[in-house]
Amino acid sequence: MSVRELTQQQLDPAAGYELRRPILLMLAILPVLLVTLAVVRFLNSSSPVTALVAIALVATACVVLVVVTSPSRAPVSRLSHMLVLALALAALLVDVAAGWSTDPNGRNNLIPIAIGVFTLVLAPFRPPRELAVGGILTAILVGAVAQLHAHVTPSTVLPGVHVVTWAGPVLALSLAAAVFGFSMLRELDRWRRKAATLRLHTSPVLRQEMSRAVQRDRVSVLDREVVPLFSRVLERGEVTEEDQRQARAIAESIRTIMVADVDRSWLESGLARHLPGGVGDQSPVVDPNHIAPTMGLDGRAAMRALLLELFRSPGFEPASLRIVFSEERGQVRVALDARVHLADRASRASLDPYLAVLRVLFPGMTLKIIPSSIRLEFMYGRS
Amino acid sequence: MSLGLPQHLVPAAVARSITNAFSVAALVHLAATAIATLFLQAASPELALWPALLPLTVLAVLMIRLMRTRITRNLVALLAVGVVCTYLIAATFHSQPSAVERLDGYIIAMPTLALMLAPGVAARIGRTTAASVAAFFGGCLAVGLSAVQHGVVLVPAVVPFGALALITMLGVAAGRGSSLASARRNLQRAQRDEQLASMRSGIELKAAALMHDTVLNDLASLAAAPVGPLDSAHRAQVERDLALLLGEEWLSEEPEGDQQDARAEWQRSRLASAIEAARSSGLHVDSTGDLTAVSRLSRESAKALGLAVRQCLANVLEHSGTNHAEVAVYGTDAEVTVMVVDAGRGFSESETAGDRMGLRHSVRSRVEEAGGSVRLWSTPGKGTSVMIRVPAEAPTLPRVNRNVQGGQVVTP
Repeated sequence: MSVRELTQQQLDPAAGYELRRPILLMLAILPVLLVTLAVVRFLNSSSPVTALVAIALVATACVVLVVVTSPSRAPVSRLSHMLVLALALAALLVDVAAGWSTDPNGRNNLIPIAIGVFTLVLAPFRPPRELAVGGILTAILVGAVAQLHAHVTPSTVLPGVHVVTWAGPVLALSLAAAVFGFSMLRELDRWRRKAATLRLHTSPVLRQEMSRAVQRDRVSVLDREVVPLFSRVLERGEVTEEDQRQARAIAESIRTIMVADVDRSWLESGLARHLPGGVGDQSPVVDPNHIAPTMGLDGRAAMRALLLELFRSPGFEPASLRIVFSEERGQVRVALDARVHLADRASRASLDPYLAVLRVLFPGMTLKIIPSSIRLEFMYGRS
Repeated sequence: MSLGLPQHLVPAAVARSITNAFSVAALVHLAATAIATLFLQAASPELALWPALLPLTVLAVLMIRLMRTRITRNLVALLAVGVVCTYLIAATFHSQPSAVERLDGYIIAMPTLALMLAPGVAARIGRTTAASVAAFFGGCLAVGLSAVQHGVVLVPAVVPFGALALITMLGVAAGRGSSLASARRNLQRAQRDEQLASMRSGIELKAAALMHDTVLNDLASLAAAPVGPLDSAHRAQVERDLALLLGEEWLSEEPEGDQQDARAEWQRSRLASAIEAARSSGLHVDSTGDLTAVSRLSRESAKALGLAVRQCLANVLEHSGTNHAEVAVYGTDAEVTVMVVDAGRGFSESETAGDRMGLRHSVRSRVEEAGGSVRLWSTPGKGTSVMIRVPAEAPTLPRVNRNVQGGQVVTP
């Protein structure tokens, strides 16, 4: 797995999926405001075409945000953040050039507000430090443009006030975005610590219980053949040819079981209880190099959750499931194929949160869903 | 790492984070108003704008008080006094026509925006959203009243209205909590199951290694033993292993023993026991190097090392065709390294796939489980060397170089 950035999306991968609707609503406010104002001011602009370009740039930034924050493209990269800010700044420059902001009251600071809202939208997706630094730098640039604008455009408004009016919203909303991200990370960290403390206290008890259960299993195996053989030999005080033959046969059978146990990966163990008849010779997991154990715990948990959801899907054919682990240039490639009839939108939507989580954990994951089958592929470095 | 917050914690965590974010935005808005006022005051000394700083300060104090203690009384106080302060700030500007000309309308709207943001949002949406709506109307009323009183043209409060829409929407989103309740629950459950499976797998590995060291070795000895009376060493070994396996809690941790001195530590160590056991089976073992280094091992590492070496020596006895081996111990502050060397017939690891349990389980897996590593060099006809490294704890005992031959410890 790749190194996860300190963002809400990376540490709480389901969040990126559930924030989709609020983000779209938040971004919907901007075009409504911009279009309304554009209609009112279009005729007064000294360069209507340039004014339209400014609107188009803001709209493009909105579209970029909608696209990059989509769960199917997770995680959001720093480049996307920079691109959105660059588009918005370009819109501001074009807007100033168009004279669209020439207003006796100087109240048109909608593009700086839009920049702030864009940063706010990115709060769950980028690290707080990056949001804060990006916001402060953007506020400085916006302030500089405001200063320039105040000098070239006649206005009664004091240049310093103009700078505050434009840079203020950028700074306020960017810092708000950084604080939101920081607070969410703190909440996640608090939960992680609490869970770790809980595990620390419950682990010894659990481990003890589990050890007893494993011991019971092993002893019951020994009780069947090994203990009677050893007891007989010890009681008799001598070794017979029959004892030797039996010892060889028991050793071979125990060894075979132990090798099979060791060769069974976490994935096969997890699947065993869901596959009719368990994981037999026809295991759905193909892992000739025994590399499945190299996957981290989070990845395993996400895979387990996805597979459980697949098993719950009425259109899923368990016999068609095939998960192949292979090595490629020092990385592990995982390919999952299954036949599943995702006839309606709801059945497809039930898989989406798990796929979104996997996408965050394994950037570059490819997914192909056609109505009757699903294929996903991803790679990760050995942990 | 984790897969995120459990479902029941999401609404409160999101609400707290949005509230913190709003608080910062509110304070920045107040600061921006103060800076703009100072700019204007500095540019127009003839105007009396500084009094606006007093209600701004009162607003800031009330906001900080609310942020520190989010109780209804502080919220009501902020709203009530805040609306009055907003009126006073607007009136300060509106009463001086040249100030209105040189000031942006947005600056006058900023205290209203700050007032709307300060209540934040709560997991129970009703109260805080009502507070933001009240702040919006209160602030607009205060600014409108001041404008009318001083004959200033009223402008529509587009930005505060947009902000109100944003605040309400985020409040609703926080109040609704996770839309993925079942997915979050499933992810948490899968994570817990995976942790338990991992724990169980570790215990099973330990059990398998122990089974291999005891039952399988005993069965192999029995199969290879000559027909006739059972020799006493073999009998003792079988009795010991049976008692161990059928006894109580053989998979649980062992109590920690005393650590009096380096010699006692070595004699008590699993490594020394493993060497002694090999010697009693007829293998001549020379142990060399810094034997007391084992005192720096944790209980788990020492156990893993001892059992791994025991298996290596058993392999020498069983497969190498020689009855001589050397165990060399080297220690640093960070790790303890043990080399088990024999000059026997050697082997090719790929040809031992059929019976890989000994090497894989009792040596490699066990040592890796303890955070160590194993390297093996073997050439058919030229012997075998196994290097086992395990992490050490901080040094607690003086290091003494020793040379042990035939079971006797000699201090130079």
